[in-house]
Amino acid sequence: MARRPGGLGLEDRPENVPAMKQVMVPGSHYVYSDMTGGQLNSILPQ
Amino acid sequence: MRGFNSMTWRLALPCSVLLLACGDAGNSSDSTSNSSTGQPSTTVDPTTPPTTSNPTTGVSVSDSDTTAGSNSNSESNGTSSGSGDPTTTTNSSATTTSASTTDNPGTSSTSGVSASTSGGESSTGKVICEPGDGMGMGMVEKSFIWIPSQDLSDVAKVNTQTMVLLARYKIGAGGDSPSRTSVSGDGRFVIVNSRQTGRSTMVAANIEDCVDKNNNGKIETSQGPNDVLAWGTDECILWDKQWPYAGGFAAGPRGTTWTPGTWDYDLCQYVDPKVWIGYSAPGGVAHFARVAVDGTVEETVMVPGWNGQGYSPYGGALDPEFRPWMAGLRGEFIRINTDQNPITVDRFTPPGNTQGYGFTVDPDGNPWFAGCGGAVSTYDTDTMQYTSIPGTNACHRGIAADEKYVWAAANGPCGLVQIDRATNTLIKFHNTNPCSTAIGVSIDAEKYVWLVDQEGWAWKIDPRTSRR
Repeated sequence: MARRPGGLGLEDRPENVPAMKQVMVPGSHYVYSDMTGGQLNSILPQ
Repeated sequence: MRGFNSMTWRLALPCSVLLLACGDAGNSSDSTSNSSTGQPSTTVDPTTPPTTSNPTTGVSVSDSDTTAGSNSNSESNGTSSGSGDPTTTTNSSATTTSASTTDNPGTSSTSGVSASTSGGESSTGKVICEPGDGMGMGMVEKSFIWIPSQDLSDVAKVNTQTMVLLARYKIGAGGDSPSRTSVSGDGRFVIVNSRQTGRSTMVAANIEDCVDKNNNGKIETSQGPNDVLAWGTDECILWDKQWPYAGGFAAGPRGTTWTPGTWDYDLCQYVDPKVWIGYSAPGGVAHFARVAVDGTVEETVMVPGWNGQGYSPYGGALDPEFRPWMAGLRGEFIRINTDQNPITVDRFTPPGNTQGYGFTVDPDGNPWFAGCGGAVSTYDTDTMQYTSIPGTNACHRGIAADEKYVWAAANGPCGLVQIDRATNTLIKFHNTNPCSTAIGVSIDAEKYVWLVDQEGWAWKIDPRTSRR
């Protein structure tokens, strides 16, 4: 992620690389589905 | 556990939609129990023949869904942009069966509550709440991502907040090739579809939903990433179901989506969720089964002449009216009209250059396609127009949508595509380091984007650092 000059905070620009964190998960993953339930929850009345 | 009354998601919908949703017509009373054979007991022919139009374009593509999971990144038929013509659409009454089959009966009940949904009143006659009331507030208590491993025949449970791999569960004896996973709206249940063996497996996310099958007074279940119990011994595996599929890897269950269930005014939450699962039956007929949490197959919708390059229905998602959509690999996509009785199916044939691979439906109810090889595309259900997103051209894989953006995994180059779904424009192509084969995309309960890499890891991405 990029920071503003002077290190005052995150720069909110599209060219910034998003903040990412990695977690290792054993095996070979071949998945395209809603692994979190996020799609379903996104269409619910809220 | 995160419940519907403590979610952080926000979406305003017309009340009419809410009331329709409460009815969850897909859970209508036509799901009578009349069989215990595991096979649909009755068959009703569709009232009109299905569309047979073929959207393929002659683009040479390699097998994109092999057991090894490899795909060719050299696939390309050029990027299209702009809007396409209205789709070829056919509406037909679906062939449906109503059956009640339960595998491994005696497993946990859905919730132990009775839904008392009567015109917005609770069982005491007092109006308590409607769907959406009280939502958008509160903290997420639990949130998991469920990542299958095709070579290990297991599924991993990762806490999306702590990023800790909590447990792994065998979903079959081996050689199952599990792929699509799908999580119920309340986060309590997970379905895992195994392509090779034609089986679906239900996992309970929380210990209180697991079942002491050996009656020893405790729940035997995975306690960590290296604690994987033998198949058939983990008591958080609620049941598994062998589908009457055509046999072979291509026909096994893939596309899946949950429905939230019915609204309980007393509990102020949805109860009795269902999951739809697609697989290929003999004769080129796609089956879409609606399954209760206890494993009961309540209904099967049959779509003959399925157009999906020989594969079972490839992806699924739900729209805001709680209608399941299912898409074929580089082929047709359908909407199962569970709000009609009898259920009907709308079949859509997208332009040939759509080359749909990953599939989702955004919060406005519009389907999205991750083209492989091709563009990321969407279908506007109001205007019946297709739009391919300029600047996207790759073998895209999984795809997910949030309030503002659509995110698609991309191969060649490897990374994540971010699209502004209000303007249908490409925002950014994001690289990850490392990036081997970006494949699955999901949005967690706190709206972080998850990108699963086939090679053995997943990324949690903060979308707030990548907005305009």
